[in-house]
Amino acid sequence: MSTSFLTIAEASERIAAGTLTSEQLTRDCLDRIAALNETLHAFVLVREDEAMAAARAADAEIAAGRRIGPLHGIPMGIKDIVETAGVRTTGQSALFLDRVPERSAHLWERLEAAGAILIGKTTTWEFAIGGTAHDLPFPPARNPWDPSRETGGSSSGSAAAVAAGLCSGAIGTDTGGSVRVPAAWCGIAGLKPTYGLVGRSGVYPLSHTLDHPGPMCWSSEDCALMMEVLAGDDPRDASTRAAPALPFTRRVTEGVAGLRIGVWDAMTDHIQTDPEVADAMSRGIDALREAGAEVRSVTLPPLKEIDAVCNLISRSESFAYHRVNLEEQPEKYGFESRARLLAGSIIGAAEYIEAQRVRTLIISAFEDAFEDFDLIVCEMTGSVAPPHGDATTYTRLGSRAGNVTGLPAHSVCTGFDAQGLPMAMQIIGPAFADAVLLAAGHVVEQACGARQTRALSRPRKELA
Amino acid sequence: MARDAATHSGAQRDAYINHRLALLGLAADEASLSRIRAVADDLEFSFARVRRALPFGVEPCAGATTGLARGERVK
Repeated sequence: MSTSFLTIAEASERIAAGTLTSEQLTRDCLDRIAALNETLHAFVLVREDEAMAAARAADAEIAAGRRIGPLHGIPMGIKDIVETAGVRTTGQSALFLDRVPERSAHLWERLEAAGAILIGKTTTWEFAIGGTAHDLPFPPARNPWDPSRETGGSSSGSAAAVAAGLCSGAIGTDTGGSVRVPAAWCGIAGLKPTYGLVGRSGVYPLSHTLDHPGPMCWSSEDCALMMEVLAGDDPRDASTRAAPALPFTRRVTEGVAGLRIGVWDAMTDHIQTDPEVADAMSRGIDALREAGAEVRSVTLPPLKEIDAVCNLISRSESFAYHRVNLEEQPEKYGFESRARLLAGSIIGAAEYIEAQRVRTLIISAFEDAFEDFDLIVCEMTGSVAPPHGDATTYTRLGSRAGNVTGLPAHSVCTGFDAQGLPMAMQIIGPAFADAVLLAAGHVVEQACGARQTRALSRPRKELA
Repeated sequence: MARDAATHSGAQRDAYINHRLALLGLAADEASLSRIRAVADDLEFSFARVRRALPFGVEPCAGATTGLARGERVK
């Protein structure tokens, strides 16, 4: 099997031990990109020469005893709304088709300083809002478990790339579920961190009070390795000023014994969850219980209310950001994203403020719940990945509570359905309990996440 | 005014959308308008839902613009 299927933890350990080079790992990832990107469209830009040069430089540093840490020499994909100095960052839009930033986003500066290698920029919905669309400069990403299926979005390419072994880890952004939904449908782990834990400067905004960048990896343990580097103060993002140092890599393998976990039947009043997805979530909950957690049910505000608040705030804030370009260059936007953004213009200030007030009530309800619970688990999506282009199923999501409250939320794989498509559950925690979420995710993955099964593990010629 | 749009259906709501876009100097062709109206249907539902959730006389406003829940609890 290609080394590109190693987790970050496994690859890092081998690199540190001298049994694997960054050059070999990066070469294997590039070979898989060459073989599969034509089908999956996970990357809009691949930096073959630059990545190989960076890998060789990393190997030289490591050989000289100057290994920076676990991410040194690890190839990563970065969502194409995250600015990377000297590397085109399009937002998947004709509007920014030739945009080459002079400075990197703070989060990439952190990863790069930790020795990570930028192997390419990953596909996204246009400015993270436009849905699966075919009128953009680049085609939409396809699901590696079944290319006739949706990846979920908007961090579609990041999820597809990690799931297919095209890179070791990736960055996504999440405004209403855009890290967690594609993570769920592509069978990987995705963390939406606590608001203010990961800096957003240099990330194209969608909705200022709902946007959260986060790691997308094969395992919760890998998310912890990335968060160890990503979390912390960003001088250009005031929301990060209170970010505490959290023990991600230590905590992730320490289990859930003694934790009080609330099961939130989030979709009961909303829309039904498919039986196989619900059964898989039950197995995940059983795994947490067997690992020593105390599990009880919890009641929280209706999902419909949370979705309504998220809808009004995100439409208002995204319209505000794009308004000038919508006026001056509307033809540069794709049809769907233009319509979604323009619809934000009908929301008045009073409605936006009312939504923010209800948001505060929702935050209070979650804070009250976390007086009695350490974690809450609920559905991530109501189904497995729907057929490509079928956006209606996107209504069956349990993701928006994390964005509205700013609380950390983690999507973790619970196994595969009868068709071989990945399923997932969601873990939510109190502010800055991100490391505890990842520990719970690790327990679920070990018990039922089928982490030995990989998408497209056969050579491409065998797929037909 | 936007609430008027939310509580009136059909032609009145569409007229409001056209008026609002014109006021902002925003252009939209007929196909886009049709799609905007569909998204507006969804927003209309959201307006109503938020109104029902907000008890009159309560003033939950502190911290409402950050989305950041307070507290720090790490086990």
